[in-house]
Amino acid sequence: MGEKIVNGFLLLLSLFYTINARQYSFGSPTAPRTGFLPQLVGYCAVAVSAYLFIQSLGGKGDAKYVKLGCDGRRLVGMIAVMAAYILVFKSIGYLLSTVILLFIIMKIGRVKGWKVPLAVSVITSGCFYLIFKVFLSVPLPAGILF
Amino acid sequence: MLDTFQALFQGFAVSFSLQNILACIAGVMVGTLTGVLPGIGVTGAMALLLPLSYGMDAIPATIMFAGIYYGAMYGGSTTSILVNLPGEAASVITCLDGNQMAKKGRAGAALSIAAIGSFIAGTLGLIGLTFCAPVLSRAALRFGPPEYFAISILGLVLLTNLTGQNAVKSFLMVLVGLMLSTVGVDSIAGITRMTFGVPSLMRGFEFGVVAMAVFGINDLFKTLVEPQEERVVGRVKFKELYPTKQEFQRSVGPIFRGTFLGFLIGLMPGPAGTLASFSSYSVEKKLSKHPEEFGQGAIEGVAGPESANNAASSAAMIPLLSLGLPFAPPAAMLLTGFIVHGITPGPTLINQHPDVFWGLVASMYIGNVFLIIINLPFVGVWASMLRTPANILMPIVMVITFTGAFATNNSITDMVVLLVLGIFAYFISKYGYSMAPLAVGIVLGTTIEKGLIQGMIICHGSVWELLTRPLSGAILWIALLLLAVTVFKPIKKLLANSKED
Repeated sequence: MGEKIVNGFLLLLSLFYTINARQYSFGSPTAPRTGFLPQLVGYCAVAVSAYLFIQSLGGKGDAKYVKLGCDGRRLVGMIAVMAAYILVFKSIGYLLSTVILLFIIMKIGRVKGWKVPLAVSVITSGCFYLIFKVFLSVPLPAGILF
Repeated sequence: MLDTFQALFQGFAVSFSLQNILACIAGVMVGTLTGVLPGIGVTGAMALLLPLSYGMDAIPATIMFAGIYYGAMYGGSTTSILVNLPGEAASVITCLDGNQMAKKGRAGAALSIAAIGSFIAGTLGLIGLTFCAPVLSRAALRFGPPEYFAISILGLVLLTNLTGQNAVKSFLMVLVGLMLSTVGVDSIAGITRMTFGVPSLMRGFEFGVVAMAVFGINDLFKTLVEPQEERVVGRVKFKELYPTKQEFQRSVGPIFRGTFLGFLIGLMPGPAGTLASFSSYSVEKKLSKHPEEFGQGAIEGVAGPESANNAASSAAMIPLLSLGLPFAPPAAMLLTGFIVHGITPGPTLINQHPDVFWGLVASMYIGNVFLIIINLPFVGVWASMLRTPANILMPIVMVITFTGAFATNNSITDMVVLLVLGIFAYFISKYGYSMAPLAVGIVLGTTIEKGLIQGMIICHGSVWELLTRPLSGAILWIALLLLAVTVFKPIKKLLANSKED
């Protein structure tokens, strides 16, 4: 089932890309334009992904027995935390959001206790803040702390 | 010949400055660490360090990046031998005999032979690079857009055939890479395309961010949400590092054969290090008087592959430095590192930036010496790194990744791209899709588009004329034949299967 979903997704992605690529002028072989390569690549991608999708529908895919083999709840949790990190990155600032991200990810990763993850989160975030903000002058968002 | 030696000596003068020596040491140490720690790939590590190099000058930055690349090949053997867990793909085959030797109490000998072989192969590979790259650069000065287009296409087709388990899936990944490369401002007409109204996408996808996503975030998910084997790390004392006379004698042939084979394979596109080590292993097994010992702790099974992957990493620099074409993700990352610092690798690099070219080559000789120094006596220190719990280490890597992505353009969009592409890479790589063709496709996309469009104009819109130009035509025909084999083999298989049904 997983292979069918992945191959189907890649087919949809290729179709979406090709439809958008058709908005740009193809030109002609003597005077190729902006849409020349995107359209060629898009048509090839649709053909190849359709082949792979049909193959997997017929149960002939080479990954038909593959299972994700991961802890689904942990995976969803990690993705959600990362997405939330990006959302609050600017508003609450680099330092605070990074401490929270690190702490939660370590807890999702089953680091035991509170002291170690908290200490690692605070020290690591502080070090990276120093490296990027102070030494490399990256304008990391200050947020509500400063 | 004399000019080459003179230039190389000037390169040594450049690379012996304090700043460059420190950059070299930092690069090879990070490279070794990358090789040692499973879960952090060499391309991902280079991508992570790219933002940290922004404040550096061009020469030390490129020296550091190259150091990470060839340093990783050294470190990979440590985990393969001590833990039976390859730190990077090129060291997978070393597990077979290296770990068996460790179980028999010969871990020290295996580690030292791997390091000595890596040193010899790395140095001989560099001699090859020193003399081959300038020759190829001079020849490449006559190349026009059709030739570059043809070489890039051949590279991608070879990569498709050599990467992953399914060539059709790899081909689709090349196409996805090319699709991503077309996002942003068209390099020829200057027209914005495929940005879907997102202004930050006008500059296109940053290769560093894409590499961090498809290698870094992907590895991160694999390490944190999938069951991991428990690591039992062996201890090695310094006095145990000496191989016996017999072990040394048995290793000499495999080291030199591995070097030669690895160098040739390194010139080809694809996962050169991995292919080189696997090929060397099978050659040594065939040539051995005791093939039954392979898999049971044969020293040849360590000496050959470890030499081959180091020679391959030196050889892989030749197309990058002389043509400006990277055919493997780490080389593509090196290219990005060069470009970020205002240097464009290619045929003009030697003439326009001789200090960069020769300084880099000379630093690699120095780096090889550093690597043997830091790998052999300090092997215990590297092994102890493996005791760092992955559930603490990987979240820290995650923070560097996100911070690095933001620092690339000071943009939240890059962080979103990082997460979305990371999730995409994690799911599709589970089902046999390799990320290397995607990464190389993105980097070569612009060269291919420029080469194709300018080539079509030069050839008056005639594909036949493009296919009958002496050099580009010959290369394109080879690529087309290979592509035909790639496409028709699965169709033939499908037809045969349906007949059986």
